[in-house]
Amino acid sequence: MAATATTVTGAREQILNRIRDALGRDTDEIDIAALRARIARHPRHIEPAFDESPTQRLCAKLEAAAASVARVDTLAEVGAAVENYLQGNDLGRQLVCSGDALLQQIEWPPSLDLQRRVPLGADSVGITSALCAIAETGTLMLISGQQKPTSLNFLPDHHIVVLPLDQLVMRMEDAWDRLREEGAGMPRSVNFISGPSKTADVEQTVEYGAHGPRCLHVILVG
Amino acid sequence: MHPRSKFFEANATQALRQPSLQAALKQLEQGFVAGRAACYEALPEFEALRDRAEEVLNHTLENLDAYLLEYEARVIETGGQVHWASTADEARRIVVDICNQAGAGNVIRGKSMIGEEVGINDALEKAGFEVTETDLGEYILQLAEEPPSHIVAPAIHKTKDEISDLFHSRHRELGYHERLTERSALVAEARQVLREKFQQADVGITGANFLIAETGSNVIVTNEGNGDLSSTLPRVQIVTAAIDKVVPTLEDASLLLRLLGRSATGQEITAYTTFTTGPRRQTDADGPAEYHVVILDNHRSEMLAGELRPMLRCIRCGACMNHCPVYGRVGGHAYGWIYPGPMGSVLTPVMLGLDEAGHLPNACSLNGRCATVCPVKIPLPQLLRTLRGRQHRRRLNSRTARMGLSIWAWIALRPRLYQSITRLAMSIMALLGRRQGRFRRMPLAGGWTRVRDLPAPQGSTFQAQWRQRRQQ
Ligand code: SF4
Repeated sequence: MAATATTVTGAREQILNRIRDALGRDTDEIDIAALRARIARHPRHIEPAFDESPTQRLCAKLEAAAASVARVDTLAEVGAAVENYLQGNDLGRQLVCSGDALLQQIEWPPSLDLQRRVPLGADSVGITSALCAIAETGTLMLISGQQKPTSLNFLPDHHIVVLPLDQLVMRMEDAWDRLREEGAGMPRSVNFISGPSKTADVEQTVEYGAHGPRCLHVILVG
Repeated sequence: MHPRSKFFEANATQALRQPSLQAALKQLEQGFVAGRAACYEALPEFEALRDRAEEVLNHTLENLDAYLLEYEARVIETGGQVHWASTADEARRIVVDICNQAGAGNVIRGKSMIGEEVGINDALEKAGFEVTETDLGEYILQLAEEPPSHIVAPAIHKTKDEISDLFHSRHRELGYHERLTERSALVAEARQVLREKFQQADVGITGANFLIAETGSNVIVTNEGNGDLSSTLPRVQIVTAAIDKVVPTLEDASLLLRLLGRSATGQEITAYTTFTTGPRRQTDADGPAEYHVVILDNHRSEMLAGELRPMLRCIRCGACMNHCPVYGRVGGHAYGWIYPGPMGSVLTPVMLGLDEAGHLPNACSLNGRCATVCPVKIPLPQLLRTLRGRQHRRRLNSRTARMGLSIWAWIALRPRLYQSITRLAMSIMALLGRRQGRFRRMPLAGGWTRVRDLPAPQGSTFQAQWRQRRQQ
């Protein structure tokens, strides 16, 4: 493996040197401090305006992307909403559940069999919360963590997401700020989800459930 | 893939005679083109976004070495490894080495143009690994043993019938015996087959739409979710990306994401946009134990030096080919390599050489539609002209073409002479063509008149008419 290591370091210097030559300057001629300051400031750019209320917009965008949306007033009603969804879609009573704080707070009806674990290919329903949702594009933002396996967002056929409406933000930039506020740095995975999995690879016609969930169901609370 | 760009003319002729390809290309207009147009209409800020994107990417390119180093430092801090590759060959070797070291047997791939550019599948298969493409389009092509014909919709040229046959013959060994004809059934069968591959895979190789200097993240944009499974389930993740994919911050990526989906498929945002950073943390419930990034140059630093620099802004949306009248007739395979259409006509000659790909910069009417829709305002026609100039100077075009161009240039630089010659030519042609109003045959224009008539001119030149109108 020594051979690879030398090629790799060699290539690194070569590439960087070629870039410097192409730009006609040395690296010490760059104001690194200014570039780092730009990163630290992470300036926002153009943020498209919209008229609808954020909640309206979120629902409309999600539904346009073939996700389904249910609304409840309080966390106490989430259990029944989940039961409803499972019954309506003939999905039995078993769900794989992320262990995030919000879902832990919910008192689940005894009819549901919730399993807190990493999902397997055969699991058909997964349920998670989200860090926030973005009104502009109708997008849920999920992050990985101790009790939050990323595969739960992709393996089961049905993905149910519980989202308190006070976690709705306007734009992706606001979502980044939310994440920065958490103060834990960049999680291993940040998944922006804007609808069920789909493909148009067969004759440019959309089919749902290509690899990820065929159905995305969002339960808005509040 | 073995390049066939030299045979552009023959490839194109063949493509024009394929009814199924022609039907697929027509659909492009109703699909991606109409989709982008609708997005454009719906977003008054579209032009402002394009301007800003151009600015941000120019700033990044001007400081490319520094941003790459920032990015590298963040990847290492988060527990990942960065490998640099000057050439496609180096990139292949690095990827094979990582797979060897991981003791891998099965490798899965999420769709990535860099993977195609360096020919990763071939290298891995030669080294004894089983490689499976997981993007449905790429998977279809892997079964068919064909290269992609579009950078966003790789299997756009395949009909449902062809896919039915392909699955029927190739999935039989896996225990699927029925020949499926429903689109949804085909997608479901591929999902099932690929699910198993995902579970067995030791290594997942993905591309990157962007690399973020601020956080050391790579961004993958998909609708299927295959890129996400590829970067979550296997024990080792490899990201292959080129030096021009880095952007400074998460906000810069957000800016470009607003343009990418809209320009590519007419989507405001794709179903999945995923930012992955390093290997799984101690506190993570899943994710790969190893995270590698292979950063590839492959002639990009060369482009950075000269007039072709704007090409490095490309975010691979495919809008230029969707809107290209040439691509729209001949499809992607005619271009003979993995990058087709206007962007490919710039990239392929740089990466493979003008000797191989000299036809491509000329396969363009300079109508400019590509530059009008390019979300990062790459002046593609101008770049193609630059390449034509290089070709001319390096005497790579045909002797007749060179001579013709030199004579024309000599005359064009002498306006008086130019005007009298064109005036004379126009009156002669008007006289000769007066009866029919058109020419069936014309010396020096055989290529044109073989397939269509040349309309006869009315008698006076454009310049003369212009002058006359100005006087009125
Ligand atoms: S050149 Fe422009 S339009 Fe073409 S793929 Fe690149 S970004 Fe898209």
